[in-house]
Amino acid sequence: MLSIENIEVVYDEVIYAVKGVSVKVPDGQIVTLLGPNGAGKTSILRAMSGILKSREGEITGGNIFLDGQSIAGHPPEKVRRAGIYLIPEGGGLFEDLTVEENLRLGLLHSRGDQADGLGKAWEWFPVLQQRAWVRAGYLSGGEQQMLALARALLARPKVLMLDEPSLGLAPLIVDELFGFIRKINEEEGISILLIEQNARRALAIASYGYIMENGKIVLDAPAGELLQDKEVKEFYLGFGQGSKRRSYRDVKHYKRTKRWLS
Amino acid sequence: MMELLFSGVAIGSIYSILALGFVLIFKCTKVFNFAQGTLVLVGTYLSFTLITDAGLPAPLALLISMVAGFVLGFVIERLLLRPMIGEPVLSVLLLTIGLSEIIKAVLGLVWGAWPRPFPPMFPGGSINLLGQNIPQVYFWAIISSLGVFVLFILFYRQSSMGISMRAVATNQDYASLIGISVSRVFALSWGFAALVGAVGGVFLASMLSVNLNLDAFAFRAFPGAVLGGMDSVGGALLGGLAIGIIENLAGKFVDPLLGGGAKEVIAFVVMLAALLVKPYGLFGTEEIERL
Repeated sequence: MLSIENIEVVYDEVIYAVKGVSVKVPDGQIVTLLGPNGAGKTSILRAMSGILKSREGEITGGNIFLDGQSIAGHPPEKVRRAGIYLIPEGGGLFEDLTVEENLRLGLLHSRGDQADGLGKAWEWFPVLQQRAWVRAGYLSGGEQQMLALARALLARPKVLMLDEPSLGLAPLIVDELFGFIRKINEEEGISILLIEQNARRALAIASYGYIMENGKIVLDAPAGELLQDKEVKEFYLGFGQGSKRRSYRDVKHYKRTKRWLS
Repeated sequence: MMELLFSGVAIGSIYSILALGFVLIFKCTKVFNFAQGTLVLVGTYLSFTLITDAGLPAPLALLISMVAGFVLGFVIERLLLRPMIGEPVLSVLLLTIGLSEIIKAVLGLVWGAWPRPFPPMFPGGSINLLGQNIPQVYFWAIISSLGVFVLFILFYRQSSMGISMRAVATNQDYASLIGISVSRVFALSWGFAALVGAVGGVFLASMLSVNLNLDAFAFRAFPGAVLGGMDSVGGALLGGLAIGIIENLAGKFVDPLLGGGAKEVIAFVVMLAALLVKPYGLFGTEEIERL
């Protein structure tokens, strides 16, 4: 189990981005972390994977445990070897390397069967095999996310973290992608921490959800409950006040930026 | 004319190896290594001593020098460059300049500053190649250079370590996320650069002599590296060859017109002209920055 306890992140010694957040990802589950831009979601992922330092950020409080072992403040390659794998926004692919070379890097420090080689990736994503020799930078956005997932699949981490995989993709591709995320979780038993802005899709595959605003968790509940929650419906799922159509003039989102905070 | 071309290719293939030294470090660490010339010197002097004083056979001496060069490069990165990660580029450049002066001074202390003939590594006489008689040294320089490049290109394309190194060259953050130790890749790059420096230096000394100014010759290979794009292994090969051939042609045809000197500067003129047309060299990675 991955558990984040009261983590605090400060950038440049002054910008207080994450203000004491606790998140638990139980083994074999999909947990989602939702929230608007700038809420601090990505900062949490950076803190966990150890790449805060290159962004002038620092963990100033709290701790992160993977199966009881603290991993807070460890360098990224050590975190990766401990079994946590982050797919950053955009996929984290090496654009100058071919599809096959990108996948081979997934086998580094893999807990999976090395003898299989790339077989599993080709089996799951036949599209990629046809494009094995193409540079990753020339793939379409959807194919790049598939490649990022395929690489994670070969890496066989304990916990897979995804930072907004649906960003900039067509709805049909997003459906396919989320299907694969669920399949990786179900068939490979890999726990998943999914960060999204597409709340409806994320909650549909997750078992538990956290909602974050201004560096704090403002609401957390099983995904089913969040989907029914009146305020979540209004602000994240786009329903509000029954099914009556409203004029956009009446929405006045700007008046309610601090929605859960007093 | 053919003879000029052949000797141009031979000199060029040595330039290629020397240019490769710059490229290997720049590719991964984005540091321009002003100490590359003195790393070449270290390998050369070491081979020289192993052959003349220890009496080892030349190929064995070269091999030992390559390994020693690798260790030296590795150690330099660990001790001096590692603490400089994240510091301004200018500081790192100055560090390599200082390092170069120190190594050169130490070499001068140990071996003295006067030039000495390098023991012949290759049988004298010449080989008949494509109807031309070319000296043995030239022939072996071309063969070894090609060998070095084939090995490095295979290493970067096929081995997991090589692919990891290219991954670091593309994006260090992403590379560390996937479990690659970026600092190990940096140290390896320095090791490899010093290793190929030893190879280039030995051939250079075989054609000229062992002296403390051989590092200046290493810098004459620098335009080759830039021409090839600074971060492309294949580019270093072609860039080095081009510089060798151009230098020879300039020596033959331009020097008489100007009264000499063209051979020494033509490489830099070509480099500047090439940069005006292709700012990233022939095979360099083009970085597109949106402002």
